Amino acid sequence: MDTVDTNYNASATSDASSPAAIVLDQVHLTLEGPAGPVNILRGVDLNVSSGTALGVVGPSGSGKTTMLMIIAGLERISSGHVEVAGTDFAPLDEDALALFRRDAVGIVFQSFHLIPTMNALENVTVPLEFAGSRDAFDRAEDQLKAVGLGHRLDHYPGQLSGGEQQRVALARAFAVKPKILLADEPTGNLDGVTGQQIIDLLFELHDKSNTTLMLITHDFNLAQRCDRVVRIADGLIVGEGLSESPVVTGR
Amino acid sequence: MQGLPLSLRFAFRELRGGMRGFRIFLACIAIGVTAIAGATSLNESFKAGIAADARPLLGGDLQIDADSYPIGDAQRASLEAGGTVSAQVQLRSMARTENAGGEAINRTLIELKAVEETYPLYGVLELEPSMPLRDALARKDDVWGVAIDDSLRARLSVDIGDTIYVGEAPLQVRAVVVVEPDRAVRFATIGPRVMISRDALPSTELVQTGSLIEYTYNVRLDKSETAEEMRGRLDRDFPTATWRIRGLNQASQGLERFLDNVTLFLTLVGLTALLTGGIGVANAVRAHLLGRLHTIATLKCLGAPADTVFSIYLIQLALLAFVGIAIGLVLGATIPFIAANTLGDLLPVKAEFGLYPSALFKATVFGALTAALFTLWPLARARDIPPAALFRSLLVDKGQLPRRKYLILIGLIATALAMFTIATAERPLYAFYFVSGAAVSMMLFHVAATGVMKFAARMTSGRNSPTAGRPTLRLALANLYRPGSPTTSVVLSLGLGLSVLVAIALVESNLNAAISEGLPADAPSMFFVDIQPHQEEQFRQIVTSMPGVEKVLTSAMIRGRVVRVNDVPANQVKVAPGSRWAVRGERSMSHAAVMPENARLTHGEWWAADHDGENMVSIDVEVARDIGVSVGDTITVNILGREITARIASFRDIRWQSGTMNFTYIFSPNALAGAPGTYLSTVNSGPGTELAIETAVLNAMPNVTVIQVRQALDMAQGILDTLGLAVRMTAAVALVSGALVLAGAVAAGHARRIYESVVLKVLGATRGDVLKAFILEYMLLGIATGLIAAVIGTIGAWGVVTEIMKIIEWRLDYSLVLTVLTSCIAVTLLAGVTGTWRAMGTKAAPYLRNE
Repeated sequence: MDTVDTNYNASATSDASSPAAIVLDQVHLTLEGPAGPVNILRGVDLNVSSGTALGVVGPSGSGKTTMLMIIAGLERISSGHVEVAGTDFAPLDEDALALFRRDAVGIVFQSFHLIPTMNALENVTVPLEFAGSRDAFDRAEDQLKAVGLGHRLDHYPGQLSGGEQQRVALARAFAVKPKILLADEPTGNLDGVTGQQIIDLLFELHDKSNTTLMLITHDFNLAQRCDRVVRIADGLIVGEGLSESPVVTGR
Repeated sequence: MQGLPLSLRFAFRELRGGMRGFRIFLACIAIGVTAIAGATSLNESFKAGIAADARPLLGGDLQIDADSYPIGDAQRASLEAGGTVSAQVQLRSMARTENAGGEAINRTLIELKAVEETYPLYGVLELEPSMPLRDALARKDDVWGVAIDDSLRARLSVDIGDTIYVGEAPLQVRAVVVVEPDRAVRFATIGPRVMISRDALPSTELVQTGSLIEYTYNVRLDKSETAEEMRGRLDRDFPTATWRIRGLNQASQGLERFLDNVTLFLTLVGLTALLTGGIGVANAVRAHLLGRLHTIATLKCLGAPADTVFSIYLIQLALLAFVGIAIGLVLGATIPFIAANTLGDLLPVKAEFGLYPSALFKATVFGALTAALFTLWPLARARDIPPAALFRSLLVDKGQLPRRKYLILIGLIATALAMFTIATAERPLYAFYFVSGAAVSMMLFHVAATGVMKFAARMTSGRNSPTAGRPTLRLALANLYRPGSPTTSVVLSLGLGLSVLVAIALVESNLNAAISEGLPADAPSMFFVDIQPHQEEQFRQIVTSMPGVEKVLTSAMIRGRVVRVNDVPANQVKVAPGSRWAVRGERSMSHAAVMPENARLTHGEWWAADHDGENMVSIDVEVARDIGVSVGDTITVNILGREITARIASFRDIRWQSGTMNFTYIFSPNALAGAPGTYLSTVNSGPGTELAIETAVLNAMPNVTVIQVRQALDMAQGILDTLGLAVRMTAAVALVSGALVLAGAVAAGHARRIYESVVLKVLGATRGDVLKAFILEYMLLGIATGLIAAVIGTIGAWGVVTEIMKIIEWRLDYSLVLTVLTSCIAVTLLAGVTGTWRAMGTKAAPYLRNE
């Protein structure tokens, strides 16, 4: 079945030789909209070194999520250069990018995106199974215990609260020990206290695993917890740090 | 009824969005309604055609059916007092060609009809080349003329002007019969038509006492008397006459019965299509209402009572159902017109095309009841959606039952549907079988579907399950049992359609097998009919001297009719429909000193070989049961005007399937001593010897008729093949509905598939992985559906074959079941992959963005 198994490692450079975990070089993305081409990203340059926690802030529609999708290999750029975890995306096809994600990237979404027909344990097991892990279930269970859900293994997403679902999503994202963790407003659907717990957990896991974290957020306090913050507006990175007050959208 | 206009307004407002989501809903209703409306209209149009052509079809205003001997002069005179009479004599015989030396070249079985000059009284007989019938059949240069069926030309390789021989008579072929007005479809036709003048009949020397001959007298009334008056007069003047008088309403009873059976079958197929389609209707309604959950919750928040919500959607769905029914009615009403162009010449009757309101009404009721049955359940549940649902992020379908009053209503509608099916059927008993069968099958399929879902759930639960380490397989299995999974509806609808097809195909293959191979080794290879008593000895000598002959059996055959059972006139005896033939009309009877083979004595005793004294009779045990007699009762038969009463000595369980000769009524030899009859003989002979035996016998006795079993079976096989194809094609209509439901289920799962493929891709699944998951899902669904359908269809076929058709040797055509199974998997896979392909091509990113 795996006829599309283009090995992305063939083009990967050694992890150790490159201190940069994420490199975006003049990244442009133009999409065809109903009213003609829309420039989503207009030349983004970004260099994130390994192990960094990067906060990304900016108004709605500024291109934050698009940038995250590009780094995850879920969106192809129109021009420019992308290198993540030492892997150049240019020669990779869709399936090679999927295998790259499987081995190197974990993603957490605002809307959790768990598979509703699988219980918590199975949801966390899926990426491990795709990676061919022999002890997938044990590792998944450990990971769920690590996020405090050892007692909810058999529960289906529909039987879990929002906070619990997001913890399952976190466990799933960290299960394969990714080099890069991408989080798109992970607390957006959660109340304040629950959101705080998730963020604590996120940073705890980041600290323990030395993963490179990219966190998209509207939350000023949350962004402050990151090692580094970039501001994005209208498809461009417009600044670094929180010296100017972060743009707070109406959400 | 203040709420009604409001509900109506809302219902229409909601429909402004268009009917795109309702294509499957409409199609599911329309297909079934089309089938029922079409079948019923076709039947009506043929019946109207028959009624319009009743006189030509019957051959007169009245027809007197007079057994195997002509009516007396007084009777004929009485007929002629009412109008013009045209007698005809029909019998089966052989036609042959001879070479100059008088040796037969070709021989074939024919149906001979000898007519009087007045024939036909109604309608037009068309000949090719065109000429008056009188000329075609007249005696010219000492040779009688003959008009033949076109097929006989090829069989005997003769043409116009050539001479053929029937019995002892040479006949010159003058014309081909193109249209014979009083010949309706005769599926039991054994040979091609040969028509001669009644005056030519004696020269054939085929008419001898006891020969199998049918005399009929058609009467065209002059104005002096109505048919009823004449009937009354004949009954009064000839109270003991054994003839049967048929009027215009019985012009083509055989054809009408055949049409009724076809219509019943088509209606049941249409109903199956409706029932399978009903699942699609329910699915469509559920999907529609699921999409309206927020609207419903909002309406309730704004103060709409649950009943208003219910009526809004009821009105909407009722409107849509009637659109579907209307489509079906329009299509169904045009079927007779289409059939006219395609079937035109195949059928003997001109269908009278038109709109048949009763047919359309019937289809409308079926469509409306089915739509109501399958709409109410999801609708009644939607009624109870709590307004609070609006404030929850996810509306979960908890699958609770509708309220009791709706459950009762649904039960009533189901009962009404069942009763209407039975009440409107031409054969209520069969319709009852169908309804029970459908109910049991639906239940079985439901149980089976639940079983599949439980099994799938078990297979995926736990880390030691077979799916550990195979996330695509787990996903595929999980999709079979998740809430709202298509498993139940696909198993039910596609499974039902498929099992009908499996059952029909298996019944057909069993019938085929029974015909082609199922003949027991001891079955005879040929029958000789109409051997005259003085020829019996000669016949035996000829046949036993032939090489290859293994066994020769001869029995006396006497034509007679049952006139009384225990002093009750035969027409007043209560008889179960299955055995009516045994006490109505003329039958072949026999006498024997020793009990013939292939029967088992069930009651009473067989008489001594030299029995003398009271007349005794042994009868078929099934007939005995159906006419309600026991051993010791008496039966009176009329043989050529002479009444013979015999006491029932025994019942026999006859193995009719053995293909050997046997008789329903066998008398002790003393009872029929002196009764005029012929001999019937069966001959068992080695393969390839039949023609020589036939030739030897027929050269010596041209009056004898031969039926080659092999040929007769081939002919039956041919008819069966043609019918079988038609039956299978019609049954496929039910399958189309099933496929529609499948397509609907696949379409309904589209959003889910996209979502799953996106999430899987995020987690590092390649397109191959995703494809594998969906292919597995549909393959498993196909395997489960196919297996269940194969099992249920096989059980159904087994029941029909062994219980109704009473074919002893049931055989399971594995390759056929396997073919159906593979096709089912192929179809589900195709549907699944088509749907998946579109999902695969979807970009992930847009689905992952925050709301």
